Amino acid sequence: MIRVNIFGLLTGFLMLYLALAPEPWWVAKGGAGGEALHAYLSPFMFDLTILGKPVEIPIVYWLNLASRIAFVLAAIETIFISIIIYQEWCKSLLSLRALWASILFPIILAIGLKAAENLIGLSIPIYGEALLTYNLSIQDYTILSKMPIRTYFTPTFGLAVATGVISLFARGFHKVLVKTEPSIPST
Amino acid sequence: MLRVVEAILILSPVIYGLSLYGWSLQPMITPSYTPPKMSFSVGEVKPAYLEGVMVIYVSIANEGEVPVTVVDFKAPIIYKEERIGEALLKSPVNLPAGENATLIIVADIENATPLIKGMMQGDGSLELPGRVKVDVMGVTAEAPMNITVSTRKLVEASGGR
Repeated sequence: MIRVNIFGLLTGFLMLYLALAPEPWWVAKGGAGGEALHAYLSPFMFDLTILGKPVEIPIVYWLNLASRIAFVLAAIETIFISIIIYQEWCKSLLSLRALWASILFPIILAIGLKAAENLIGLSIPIYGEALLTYNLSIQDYTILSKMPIRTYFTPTFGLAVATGVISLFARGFHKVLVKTEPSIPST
Repeated sequence: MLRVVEAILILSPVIYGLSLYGWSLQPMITPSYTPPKMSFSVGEVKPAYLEGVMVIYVSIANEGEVPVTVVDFKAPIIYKEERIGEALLKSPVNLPAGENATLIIVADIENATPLIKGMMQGDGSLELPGRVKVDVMGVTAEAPMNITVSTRKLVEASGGR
């Protein structure tokens, strides 16, 4: 009888989708329809554009790539272990990276927004709407600018959270599968 | 062993990126951003009289890279250090990047006496030290904008009357 860890399989394939799909987890849009500013962020994506020009931070590109590789590797391991049920210790190969990512991402985001507030004096909410006001001094003049901004977490982030929860079920189910048939199963 | 291989694979993009920047972290973590050019120039200022109301046509050029809408302009009208009225933008004006437009400013003169004397003598000028409100891609910005109209031009606009 072929036994598979259905929760593990689901976790693995969802992690592959999350790592490879070009979907942000958090969006910020400023100005009319996001024309003045838009940010599309996830552990695998950093797209920040202000007044039509991109903001680039080189290390973020490489960290995004590293995150993508980490997720893909974890997904492959999870799918493999979900099909080939081995010993109890193999449970560690059922990845909780989606869970950690969905917990750490908003924390890192909040830290980044706080750092941006300290650096440029703009308080961008992690979720919701706000009116950002900014005084720019040029020579003897003061230019007062106001920009409405809206930020929100996307359904893809919700999917990441769900994947994290399912990965916990996958670990629990692995334990059950190993207990019910402790020897290495044959197909 | 698997974990070691995995760690190497995960860290390899960061290590490769560092090697591209000469193993220096500073250029890798420094954000780079080149804002679009935003520049305006005020051209000819031409007063006119329409049905007894003074209007001031102001040519403005958007020399920048982003489209702008001039939403509002408000200024007191000052003549020889005396406030004689108020000027308001008649209606918003769209100013695409690289193009020109004309602002129509309506001047409401409350105390015309000093101005009429000045026009007869042909000296002085009207100062409009105001603030202009613009919309740039949904961001509203307010900045000072001063307009000067010489009494000679006012006389020409009135037909020398």
